[in-house]
Amino acid sequence: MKFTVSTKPLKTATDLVVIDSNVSKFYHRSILLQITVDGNTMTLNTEGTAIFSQVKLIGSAETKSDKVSVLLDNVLFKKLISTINTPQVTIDLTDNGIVVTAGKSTYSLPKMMDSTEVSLNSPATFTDKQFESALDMDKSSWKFIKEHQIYAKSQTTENPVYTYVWTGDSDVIVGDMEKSLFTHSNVGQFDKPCLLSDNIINLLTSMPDDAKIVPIGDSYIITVKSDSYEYTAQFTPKYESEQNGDYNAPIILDMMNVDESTGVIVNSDEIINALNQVMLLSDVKKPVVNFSVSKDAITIKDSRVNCVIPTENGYTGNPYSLIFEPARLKTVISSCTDSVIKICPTCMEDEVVGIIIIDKSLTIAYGGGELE
Amino acid sequence: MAFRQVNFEHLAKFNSDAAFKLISAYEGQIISDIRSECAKPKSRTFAPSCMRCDRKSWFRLRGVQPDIISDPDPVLDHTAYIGTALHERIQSALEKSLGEDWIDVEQYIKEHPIGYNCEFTKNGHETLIYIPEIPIKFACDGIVRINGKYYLLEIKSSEYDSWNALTEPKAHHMDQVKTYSTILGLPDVLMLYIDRQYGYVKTYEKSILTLDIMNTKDRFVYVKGMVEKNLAPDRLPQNDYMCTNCEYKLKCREW
Repeated sequence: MKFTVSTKPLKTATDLVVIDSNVSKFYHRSILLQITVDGNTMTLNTEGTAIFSQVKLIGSAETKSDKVSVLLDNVLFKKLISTINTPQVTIDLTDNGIVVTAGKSTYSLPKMMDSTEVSLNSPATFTDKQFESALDMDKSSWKFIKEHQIYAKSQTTENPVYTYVWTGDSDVIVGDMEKSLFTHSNVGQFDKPCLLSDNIINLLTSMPDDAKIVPIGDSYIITVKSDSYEYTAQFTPKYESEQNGDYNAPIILDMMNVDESTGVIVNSDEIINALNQVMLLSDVKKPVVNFSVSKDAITIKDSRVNCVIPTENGYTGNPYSLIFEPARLKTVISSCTDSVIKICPTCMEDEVVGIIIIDKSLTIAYGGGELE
Repeated sequence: MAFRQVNFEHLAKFNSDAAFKLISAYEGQIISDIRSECAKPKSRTFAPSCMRCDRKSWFRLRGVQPDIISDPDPVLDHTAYIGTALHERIQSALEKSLGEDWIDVEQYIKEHPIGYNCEFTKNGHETLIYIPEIPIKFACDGIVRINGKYYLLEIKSSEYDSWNALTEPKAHHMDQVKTYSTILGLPDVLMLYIDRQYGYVKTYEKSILTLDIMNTKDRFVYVKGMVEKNLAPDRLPQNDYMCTNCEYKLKCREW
């Protein structure tokens, strides 16, 4: 069955359904792309963990025949299509895979599996009534989370709830209990508290600006309808439960709620510079640094470096010192969106146990160690 | 080159609350009219003015809604309004002057069948012609008889500088006229150019070649075929003047 389609919409459609970072050997179906031709419509389906994506394109079938389907390596298909520069491309779906014809050139891609054995799931459909509650996708918010918060997510399965992004109302928390690190922003879009995986964040950040999100039960449907394609994706977040664990968001938010008048205002670039100098001169594998706040300066010190960074305001509280790993502290400070940041102490039973870093769009709670 | 001092009085568009309300009432209505005009569904037909771009014809034939205009352009709208008024003035003068040599378009087509069934609508001196078979909808500025020969009349208005520089019809206007000539079977054309500022006119006689007529017919077939196949025809080269104000500019980038 030969199907001819305009190349540019095919490239766009393939980029939408195949998100490279969501292809994982741990979820076998994520490596597949199902191409189905039915009449004048070609449908591309992919799956990721808790994600079903689908895009429909119009084109021209050479002959009228029954629905034909083939399962391919999705990344390979995407890479091939990205190299084609003819205005149209013909895809011949055969028993062994597909033959792509672009101009006078042909390319063969073998099938990965028999489509009679496996069929990828399609996103759920929604009614006009359900569409009335659709949200406009705020892509910049999801990009913000990816660029400034997701680094803080736990990588271990000790406490699996912290391997997710927690979002509820406008609050977004990403953090790791073991590292005593939590980041908070107000860019959330979902009212109902839920836990979003990396895959879902990758999906949300790869959508076009005019995408809409329709809440359906425990899932969300992303929909984009343009002149050249119709895209839908269904993703199902996890929710806090006995099985999935509790993120303890109210406790974390309460911890971040500090008296800002106790903070020192400082240029983040100067702190990063000092931390780089510590790492440059350090002769140990895992250097640690002493981070002290006094009346009018922050001091970053180890055995070879003693950097004094003047603050832009005075500090009236009791001087305090904490121990941090310079590389990790640098990552934390670098994730701030502003060069002017406020650093406040966070206390437990009158003892300073960490810092709260505040900039105009982000709050970070980072626990330090004590001086030995 | 010297700097001139800004005269702020010249920049001000109003000098009182009443003056502001008057200007707001006028400009607000004009913008609202433009928006509602843009929101009207476009007819699924070829338009002779965009025959140069197969991609645009393809969008029109598929019934694709134009891009949403966030900022209506009152200047462009005003230019079109002045152009329409000038057309009417020229046509009225020519009708009076030429008498029976100002030819009624509907009557002419009935007497000289063009091979298509046409629907006619009179709009002042213009005749709107709709041919469902192609499908196309266009306004014929007029047909005149001079020295016993029938000519298709095409009126164009332009800025004075552009008009002053003219030595022959503009190439993109000829693309439009080729379509009229092809459909109406009138290869001889008189192009009348009027400047919008002072009302000076220039006219040029042109004959459309048989090859151009065949090419135009081929384009109708080609675009209709691409509509059936759901395949986008090639776009005009980047930075073509037609793309600047094209109502399908954003959608075109998708294909």
